[in-house]
Amino acid sequence: MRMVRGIIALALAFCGWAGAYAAPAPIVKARLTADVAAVAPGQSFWVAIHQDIRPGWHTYWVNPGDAGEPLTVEWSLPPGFTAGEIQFPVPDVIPVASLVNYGYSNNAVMLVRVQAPATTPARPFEIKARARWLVCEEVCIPEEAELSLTLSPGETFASADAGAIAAAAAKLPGPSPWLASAEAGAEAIRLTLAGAGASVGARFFPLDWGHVDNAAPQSVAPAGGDLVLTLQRGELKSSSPAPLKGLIVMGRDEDRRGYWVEAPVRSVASLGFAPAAADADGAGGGLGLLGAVAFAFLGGAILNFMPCVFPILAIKAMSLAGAARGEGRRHGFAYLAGVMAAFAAVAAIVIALKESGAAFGWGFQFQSPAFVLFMAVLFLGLGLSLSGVFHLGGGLCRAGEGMTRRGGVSGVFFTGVLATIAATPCTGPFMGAALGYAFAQPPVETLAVILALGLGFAAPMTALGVAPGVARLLPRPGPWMETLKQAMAFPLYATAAWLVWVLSVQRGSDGVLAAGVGLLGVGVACWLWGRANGPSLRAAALAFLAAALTASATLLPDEARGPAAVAASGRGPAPEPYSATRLAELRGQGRPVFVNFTAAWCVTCKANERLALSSARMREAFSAAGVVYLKADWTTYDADITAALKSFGRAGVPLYVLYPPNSGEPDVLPQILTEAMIVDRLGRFSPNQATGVASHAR
Amino acid sequence: MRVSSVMKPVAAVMLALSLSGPALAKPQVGAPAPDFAGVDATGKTWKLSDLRGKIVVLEWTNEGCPYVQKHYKTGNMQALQSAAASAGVVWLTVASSAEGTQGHFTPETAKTFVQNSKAAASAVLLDASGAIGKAFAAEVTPHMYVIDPAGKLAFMGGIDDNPSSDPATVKGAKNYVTAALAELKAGKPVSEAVTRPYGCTVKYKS
Repeated sequence: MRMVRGIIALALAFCGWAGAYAAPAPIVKARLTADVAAVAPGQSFWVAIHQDIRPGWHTYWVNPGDAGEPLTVEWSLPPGFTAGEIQFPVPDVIPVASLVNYGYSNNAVMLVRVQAPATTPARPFEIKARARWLVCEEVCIPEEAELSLTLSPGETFASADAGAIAAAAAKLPGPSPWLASAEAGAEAIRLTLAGAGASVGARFFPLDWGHVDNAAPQSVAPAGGDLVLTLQRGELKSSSPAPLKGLIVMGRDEDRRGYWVEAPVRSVASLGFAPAAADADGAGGGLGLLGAVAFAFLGGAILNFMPCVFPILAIKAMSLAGAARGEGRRHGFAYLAGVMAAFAAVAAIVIALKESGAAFGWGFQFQSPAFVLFMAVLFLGLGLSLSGVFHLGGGLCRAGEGMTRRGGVSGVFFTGVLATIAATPCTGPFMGAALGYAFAQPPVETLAVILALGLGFAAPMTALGVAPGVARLLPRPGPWMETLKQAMAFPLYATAAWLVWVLSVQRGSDGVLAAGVGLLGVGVACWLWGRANGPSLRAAALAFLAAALTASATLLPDEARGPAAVAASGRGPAPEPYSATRLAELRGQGRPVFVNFTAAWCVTCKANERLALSSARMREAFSAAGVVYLKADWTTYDADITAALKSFGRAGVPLYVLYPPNSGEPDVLPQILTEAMIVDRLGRFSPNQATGVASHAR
Repeated sequence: MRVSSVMKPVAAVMLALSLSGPALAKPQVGAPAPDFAGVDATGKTWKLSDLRGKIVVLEWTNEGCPYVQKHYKTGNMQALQSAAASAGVVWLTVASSAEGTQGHFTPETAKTFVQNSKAAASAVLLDASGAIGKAFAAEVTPHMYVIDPAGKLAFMGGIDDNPSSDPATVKGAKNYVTAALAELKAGKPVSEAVTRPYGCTVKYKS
């Protein structure tokens, strides 16, 4: 008997063990809840699937990324009930080795909207869900669960879970408040969110596989009020890509929010520069900055061999060769400090200019064709200077030579400062190029690059101070310096050529024509300047340059002047150019006025104009309300418009102001316009007119 | 568009030096497939360039992965392998799991896997170093590649269009490898040459 009992016990124990083996503890504990405890006929309500995920493991978003699988649910609902799509919360990036997945750690709440029919069951009823999901750590385990929930029919009331579900629902991704558009090159996609401004930690989560390389770093840059994300293209490299759909996620921690975007994708011949974006920041980013810094250092060192600088260096080398060792070292470091101070000052000016420029909405960006055009012209001019067509500030050169002959440590410090300025005639072109580069960088990179340039520039002289023996390694000054200077012009010409190509990508053959005019103009102007022997010829050179640049800028097509926009503007309300006097005149007559402060390089402005200001409906609405449409074009600087912007506390465009009739307070419209919004505002002051009509009738 | 990326070439040109970084390129359909030499469970070396004139299928595997199990437990993978073999296609199953990770094969465990699963591949290549996997940028198991007789990559991606681990989903799914092999045999270009790969991540050596 005892033995039998023992066998039974053993068998039970075995069964228990076998049972445990067959159903190991799930990695994800899932629950089904609803935000209501009772359901009224015809009501819709949230049903939530909560996943409590074991630490270190994760489940997946609707697009799991490079691997994985999202939650799927088969519903068993009472007759007439319908369940909507699963609403996934904003996902996290989950890197796995060289791949990137999208999903959730610790916990996730997936929501489904359930619609009750007009007649609900008489008794409490069950909502059943067969949920399947994949959960991964190092390895992946598919799990599934039969979940159920009992609800009562009748007057609806909130359940105990209502709060948690409402919180989850509030954090679900919403529609994008920004107009999204995208351009696809061979390797990259550039996604522009009009008016999204600068945003910390923005990231794009593609909804579909193959459009975007999940693991590639995404570069995010504000551009004139817009936010531009550069994404590496995924495996699907179609030349006519489907619209780019996905989530834009912004903010951190509790403030993370997702917005659904769907961007039509325009194929462009090439974004040329895009592939490099991948290593410009993020994981592979070290090389980008390090490379730039290394080149800047090298460039700074090369400056020493320019005709303006090298003779000074040679003389200094001779004087230091005779000096005591300690003094040489002091001189070396004082010089280094002076040069670095000068370069730091330059960096500070550049950063300040750039920041204030950005505040004014200037597009110091290479996506701004005007900036590219300007840089091409600048590089040609700088190259021509190196080629000897004209000379920049020759007087400074001789002054510098004199100053470096002064003694004393403090003198040496200022020598360093002044050498930087004195070297301008030869170093200017390089400084210009470096500054152009720096202008387009975030402040930290600007500082790093300019300081590296300074370090390179100071290095030979400092080395001479520390180890005078280095002097023996220096070549003798001679005509080779001029040859070298002239040879250095060609990289600048090459850069100008490259920039013209960039422009051809951005604005096609018309862009190239504009560049041609600008380049020819700068060529002629530089030549005139070089030949000038008096102020009048110099003035002529400058006038010619200004004329050529204006012509060039006018010829540069802005995208909005494309065929579609032309057709559209034909239908929309017709603007007249803005001026303060015209505005005052119209207001004096008691007429309502709509002022559109805009600029060709402002994408938000162009998007608004295309979407909200170009339809026949708007034209009718404007004329019905008797509104005069003034367009204040700030593409180029205009003091009048700047003052008007300032009066509204703005430093940039877009700005939309609606002046009601009979000198009422002006109404500032939001930066993202819709037709409905404008029609609504116009409608608001029609009642006044209607009252007027009514009183006449009486 | 990050502007620094624009100026990087400018900086390079400006200083008359070129900046070139070795990019870890993913293989491209239509381009020559990366060549490799891999040792199979029996010690034999397979070199891709020696297989010119034949269609080659590469199948990334990890016997512990539920997605691989979906295709082996249903007999789907073995059926594909047999059909390929009778059509003269070389089928190489590649195991890139590093030592100590799920799906790692020693010659012995690879042989046991073939025996138990009745796999009909030409060979199981042991790629614990991940060299072959990384050359092809294999991301998941099963990740599939088809190479044409000229040695060019003709197909890469998921085995079929149902990215689920549920074995019931094998039926009714469109098998991209079958379709690619049929089109190659008929001398046609592969119509769906790049498809979404799905499965578990390849457990590469870190």
